[in-house]
Amino acid sequence: MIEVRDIIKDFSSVKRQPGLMGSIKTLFSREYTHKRAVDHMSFSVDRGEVVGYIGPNGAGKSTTIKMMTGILVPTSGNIQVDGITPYEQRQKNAMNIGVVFGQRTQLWWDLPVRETFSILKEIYNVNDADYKKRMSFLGEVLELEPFLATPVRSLSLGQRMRADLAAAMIHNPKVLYLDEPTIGLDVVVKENVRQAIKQLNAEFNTTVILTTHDLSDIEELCKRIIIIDNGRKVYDGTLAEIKSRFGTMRRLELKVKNPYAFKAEPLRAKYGLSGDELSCEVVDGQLNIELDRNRIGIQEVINEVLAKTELVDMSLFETKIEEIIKKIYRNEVNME
Amino acid sequence: MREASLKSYLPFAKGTFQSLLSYRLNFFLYVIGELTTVFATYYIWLAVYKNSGSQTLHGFSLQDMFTYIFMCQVALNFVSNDASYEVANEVREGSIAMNLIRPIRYRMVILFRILGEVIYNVCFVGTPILLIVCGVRYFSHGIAPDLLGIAGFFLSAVMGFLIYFYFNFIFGLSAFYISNVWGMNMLKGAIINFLSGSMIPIQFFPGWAQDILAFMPFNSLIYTPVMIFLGKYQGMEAVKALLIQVFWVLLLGISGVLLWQKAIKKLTIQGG
Repeated sequence: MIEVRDIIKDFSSVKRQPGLMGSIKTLFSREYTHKRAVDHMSFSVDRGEVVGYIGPNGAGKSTTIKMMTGILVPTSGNIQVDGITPYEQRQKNAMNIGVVFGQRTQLWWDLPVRETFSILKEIYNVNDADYKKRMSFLGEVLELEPFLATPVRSLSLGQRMRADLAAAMIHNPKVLYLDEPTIGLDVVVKENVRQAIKQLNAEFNTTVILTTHDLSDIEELCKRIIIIDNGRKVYDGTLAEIKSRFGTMRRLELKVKNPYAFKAEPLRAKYGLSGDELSCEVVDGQLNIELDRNRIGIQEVINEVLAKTELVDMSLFETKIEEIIKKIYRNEVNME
Repeated sequence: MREASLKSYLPFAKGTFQSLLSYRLNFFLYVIGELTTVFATYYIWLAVYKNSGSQTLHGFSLQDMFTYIFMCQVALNFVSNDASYEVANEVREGSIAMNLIRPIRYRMVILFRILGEVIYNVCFVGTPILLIVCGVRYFSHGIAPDLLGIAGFFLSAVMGFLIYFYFNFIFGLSAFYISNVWGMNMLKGAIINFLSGSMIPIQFFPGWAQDILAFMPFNSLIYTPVMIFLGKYQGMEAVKALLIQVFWVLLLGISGVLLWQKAIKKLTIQGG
């Protein structure tokens, strides 16, 4: 459905000198700075897949989405969405896609929600029967009924997001791009939106590309994730694989008399462990140890702590998926 | 592929029209402001004529001048638009993205949005002024309304609208290259006010200036439709003026499309 081949996107912007003199200088001589937002990115997505596209701020997620939707033109490389090159045939591609940018709206600010839908019906040339069918489905799944007559500017953020999602689906697109669709929403509305996305995917077999900073979105919706950092792909695979690979990680939180007495290095040397497999840090006077249960026994670690200092209290956790992904962002774990 | 039909763009015109209707106080302030300017201009010319000691200046009687000033206002209602601001603003804010994800042409979206405003202004300001001008001419000077002249005026004013729209569209595209076009926009407004003939008829300009202006699109905006209304362009002369307008519509329209295709590749949208 989607083929992304070796995409590069460079942005150039005028270099600004500081101060008034600098501004005047900028008027006459232009120096450009180049920033590579997306760097040799490739992946492909099959029909009906729900793919989480994640990475820290500024990683190049939105830029990639904007190239896939035909808004931006890549510096080099090639993209095909359902056999169409989006930035060459923008309008043709637009018929096949629905887009929600969480931080913007495509609804008509001054008009009631219902009006936006009838405008979009005209724009996408949806026939009356399909329109009716989809509106009733979307209305039910997204609970639109209570605010259909409200002008968009008076909607709450949660209502607006649901209306935007419906607006992106009114022409039954083959691909749905969701750029941070749950940003700023409360827990209950988030759950609603997720359920709706799930149902839309199940009902219409819509391919969904989702970017988010909320990993519970990913856990609930996506089998597959692509992690991007500094414009490069750092991981492409299933969430389950990440979990099984890092599923043996445990986190020990210890309250001890002297948290600085314990050091990880001697144990690492003794058992031949890497930094991923055993690490420790002191946070607020509490000693936190992360360890790979397959490589070193919890008992050995505790014994070592007890040998150094006096234990007051302790708890043991499975390392959360969020922690793992944070580490992937920070390049603290080796994905190879 | 299926070309987006006119029906797809009508909602954009309707949207602007509706939101203008909901800001009524704005409308009255606008009308008062416009009328103040027009009357001030009229009284300046009145003083000029009284002191000149002659009945006509450059072929304009005081009666012609009255009509000219008021009809310029009507033509302005057709022509004025801030397409350059709309485009530049959307590029700067990145909201242009929301229009690019739809299967429609961007310049048509802007055109229809502005059309909503123009239709509003022509209906509620331009046409009433036109009727008043015709009334005054008939009742105080016995000049019967010249239907052909009025039709020619409308045709020519619509052409003026298209010329200025494409001019502004091209101007707005400079936002792809320059991050703040506000200053240039102000300068553009001032120049066009002067060169379109809406302050002083082009005929009052020195000969060499008229020769230069003949090669520019500005007098097609206001001067041409008003001269047709006044009957100062007649027969072949009117046809020639209209053809020059057609030429500018085509030239600027085609340039706009070509420039858009080039500029869109430069689009940068940061964040969100």
